[in-house]
Amino acid sequence: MRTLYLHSTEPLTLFAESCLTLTPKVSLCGACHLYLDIDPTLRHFGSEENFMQKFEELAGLFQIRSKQRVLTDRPEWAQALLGGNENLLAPGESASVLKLLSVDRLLFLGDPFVLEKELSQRNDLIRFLKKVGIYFISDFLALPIETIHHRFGKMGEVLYAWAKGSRTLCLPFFYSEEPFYEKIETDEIASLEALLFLLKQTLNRMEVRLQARSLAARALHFVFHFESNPSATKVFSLTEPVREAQTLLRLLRDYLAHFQWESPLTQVELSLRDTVPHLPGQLSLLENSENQFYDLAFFVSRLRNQLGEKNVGFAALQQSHLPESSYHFIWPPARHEEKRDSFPKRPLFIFTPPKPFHPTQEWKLSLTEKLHVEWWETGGSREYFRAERGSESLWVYREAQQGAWFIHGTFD
Amino acid sequence: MYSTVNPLPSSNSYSFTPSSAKGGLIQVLSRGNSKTEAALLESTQTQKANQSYFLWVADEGVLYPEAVHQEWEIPLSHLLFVKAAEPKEVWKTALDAAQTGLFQTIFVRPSQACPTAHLRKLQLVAEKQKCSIFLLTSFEIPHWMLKKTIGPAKGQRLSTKRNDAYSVSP
Repeated sequence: MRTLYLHSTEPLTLFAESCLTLTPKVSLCGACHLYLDIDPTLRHFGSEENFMQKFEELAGLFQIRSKQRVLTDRPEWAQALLGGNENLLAPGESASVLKLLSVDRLLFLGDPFVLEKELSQRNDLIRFLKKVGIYFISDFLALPIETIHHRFGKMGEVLYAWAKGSRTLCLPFFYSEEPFYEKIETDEIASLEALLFLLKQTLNRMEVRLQARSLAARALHFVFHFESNPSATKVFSLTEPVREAQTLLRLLRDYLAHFQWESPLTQVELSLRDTVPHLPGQLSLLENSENQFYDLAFFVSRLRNQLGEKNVGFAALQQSHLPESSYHFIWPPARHEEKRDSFPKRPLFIFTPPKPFHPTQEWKLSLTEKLHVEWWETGGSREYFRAERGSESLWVYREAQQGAWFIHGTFD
Repeated sequence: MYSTVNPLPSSNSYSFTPSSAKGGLIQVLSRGNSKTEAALLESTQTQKANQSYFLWVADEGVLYPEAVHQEWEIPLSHLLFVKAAEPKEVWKTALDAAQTGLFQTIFVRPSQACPTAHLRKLQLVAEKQKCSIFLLTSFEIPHWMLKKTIGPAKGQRLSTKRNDAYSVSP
């Protein structure tokens, strides 16, 4: 069971809730020890690196400053393996790393929910182990199992089983009932844009938490605190349940623009009290397009997680004469502008990145166009040619500065 | 007299459904004209571009979106682009996509061949989901797996031996 463990001195309750968007198997021990079983959604994310990337994005959003994390094969080893900061171990590597640790780390081995209760017993055992010349976990594990109970008692036997990996730890699943509530300090805010900027962070966090609980908000409750005037309470009701931060922010921009303050704003409290289960669109029995779009969204998000957001999506065109800069991939698809009046003859398939090309006598080259790269990029201008040899037809260019040749596309 | 619309659609290839409504693998080996152009032309003739989704998946590069927007009737809001890191991922993504049943047309441009078992899976899924999968390859694929071949054969043949994955025999 691949487990990601995070320790922080600050409470991790809200962050743990957001982690339910990464994996359903989240456990929180004492508000500061977070365990994620990454196996259930590993296929969805494509790799452990992608999972870690999403985890770090969430940690950034929830301002988790602690870097103390461990990626290990078993949850019962996680706290013991936490030596320095990050300790991301490859599959199968944890057991050998554990064996190299001092017996002092036995203090943190096993079920995290009973560590405090067993603290004095474990300390006594570790002192005794050192007294008899056992300083490393590998030495402890080298002892014959028959003598463990006889020499070190019940506690020794339990720790031996944890270190050996012969016991399986089942952590309780985390379930959050924390209210959707955040305070925003607004002492230094001078404009609506600045307030919206702060609200954006809060709404992003709310969106992830709503997503984790599969809820959508029907109303936002604001309490505005002023420097001299009494506080004002406002309720922003939504015509249909929403959870997307971008949509809420757009609506709030119009809503807050009508407000007039007579005293400086010092604090804003935001809470979501009215929530409903999130239903992805009203689905008609006769019309299937919404169902299809929802399925497509799921498929695209899975591919974007696996292959990267830059590599999957619907093309959005950009104003650029350079082929590689004229588009980027987005989700959801956008409406497109009218066609240009003139468009040079270019191939339908372009290589990303361009491949090196070696023009020889066999290739028949004919100049098609000249393009200038952006001033901040290297390479200078490019001369594009159509290179033909037999049935092969390539779109190649020569960089003016270095004279290097590249294949940018193919007409085949 | 046979009706062009079969009231009882069947997976049997001898049913009276028009061939354009059935799915399957279509190999594009066009010479003279562009392979990509030939595939796009064929797909736009058989599908209504505004009503169905298209998928492009390749590992060496991408379909040039601006050229598609300027020269073809396929709206970019109905064309999903996937740039895979390696040819295995291209084949895997094509199979995944066909299994979803979301795409009427899938363009696959891998730089290497795949095991014939995978190709057979792709064929079965394409026929079941009525999805046209255009294979823009430089190597020939066993003809019994194909619904159609566009363009002349080149003389290279994909090995059908079980362990000959990613190999092309002359």
